[in-house]
Amino acid sequence: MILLGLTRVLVSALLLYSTVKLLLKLRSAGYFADFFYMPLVPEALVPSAGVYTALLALKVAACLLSLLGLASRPALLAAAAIGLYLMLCDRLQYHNNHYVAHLVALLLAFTRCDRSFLAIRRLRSPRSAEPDADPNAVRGPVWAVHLIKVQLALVYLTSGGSKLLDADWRGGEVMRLRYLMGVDVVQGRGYEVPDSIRELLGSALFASLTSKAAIATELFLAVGLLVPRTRIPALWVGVLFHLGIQIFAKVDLFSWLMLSAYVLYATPEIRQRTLHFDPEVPRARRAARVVAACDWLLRYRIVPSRNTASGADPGAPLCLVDRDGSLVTGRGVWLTLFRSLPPLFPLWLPARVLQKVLARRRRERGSATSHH
Amino acid sequence: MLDLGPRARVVFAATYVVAQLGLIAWGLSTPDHVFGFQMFNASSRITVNLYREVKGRRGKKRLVPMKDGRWQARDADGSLQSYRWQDRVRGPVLNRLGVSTHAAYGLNAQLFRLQAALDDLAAHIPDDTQTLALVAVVEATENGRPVPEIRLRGERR
Repeated sequence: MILLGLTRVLVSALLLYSTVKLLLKLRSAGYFADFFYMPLVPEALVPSAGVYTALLALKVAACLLSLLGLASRPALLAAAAIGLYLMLCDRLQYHNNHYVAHLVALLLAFTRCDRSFLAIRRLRSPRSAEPDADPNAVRGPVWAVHLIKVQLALVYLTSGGSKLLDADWRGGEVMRLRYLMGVDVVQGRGYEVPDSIRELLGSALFASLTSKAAIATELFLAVGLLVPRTRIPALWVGVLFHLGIQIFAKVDLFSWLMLSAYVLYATPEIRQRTLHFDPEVPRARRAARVVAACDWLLRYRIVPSRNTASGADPGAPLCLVDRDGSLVTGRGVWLTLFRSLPPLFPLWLPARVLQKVLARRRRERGSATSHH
Repeated sequence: MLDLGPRARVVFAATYVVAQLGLIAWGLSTPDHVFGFQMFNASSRITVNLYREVKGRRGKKRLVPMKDGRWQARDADGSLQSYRWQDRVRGPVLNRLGVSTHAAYGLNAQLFRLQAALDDLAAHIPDDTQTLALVAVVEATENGRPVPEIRLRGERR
């Protein structure tokens, strides 16, 4: 439930942001139907300026309610319904990222997303909003969560599939021109782009390789996020993919929305892992502080345990007891932390590869020594 | 209401997925791929030059360029009225006239919108007694390849 609550807060915040932007646009540029617009619904169903303003205000209120955790699910449903209806009133205002955000919000309203992250309850009684430590006590039907995952898979599949079928995309020309457009934008802002970078971005080979990589990534995410065995690597690829898109392209809400929805792929658990740290060791104290700051999914109990750590590994300044009760020490601690803490997750795969390489080298060195 | 029973969940989920697949299929068949999840689908460019079709002195139709989307025309009383494309058509692509612009969502999407914009504006200048039609002459490249000049018309009704 904590995952659903967190996703609700993030999605509500994104919808709120986009709605406030529409209200500001309404104020600065006027009512959309006073100008050229293209409704998907019959014109009679397009709201008047007053009704449009009222609907946007209602949507802001619904987003706020959902964000704070007051009647969250009906509020989220209302916000999604208003947003989708207004999208049908003018296809010029249609954006894929807004559409997906509203679909996720709509489906999220059918989940038990109203059991955690209840800021309103926290304001009234500071202790009551702490999620229940027993995950069984807050378990509910997950059919709508599966539907959200299917929805995201459809987004990736449609986007990646159509790129695969498009010879210009597959061959790299679309990307090459976009790279060069990006270079022009950067230069237009007064920054220098080195010739070597410009040449690389303008090269057909680079564009072809990156296009194929992008298509493969989208298709992998469509399937990989649904398959338990590939879920973690797919999440890692997805996080990097969306962060990359956010940095290098203007996609408004899309990356943040997808990263928010990724929370739903995490294993539901609350404080089922314990990090033991020796408070006498500054390095361990610092690590505990980092874990506390990065534990957005409330997965860890952080326990100062002088010298003994968990009792099973005396003397280790930092160790943890995993969800299955196994003791993790040494480099494995950081690997587990990277895997389980959202802000450190991008480090997980490089750390895992590095660990495998080092372990292999150690084995090779060991076998060479034993031969001698 | 939001806590559906087992049967209602199945019905809802099945309806939702079928509706989504239908919307995607429909979206992919439309010029602007609305509901089709087409992100970064093209790198095309478009330059829109606007003209008015008017009757010349000998009754022959001719095209008069609109500078910056502005023109003046007489109404039924013979008074000169001022008009401006950008007063009616907004958005980052269609209201940039005479300038090569990235065609967001692809060339077909922008041509589709441009045709609708011409029709819309042609229907919103009832006082203009001189303009017979609005004409857009479009120069474009589709993913780097130049395409032959395209002419779109918004007829006065």
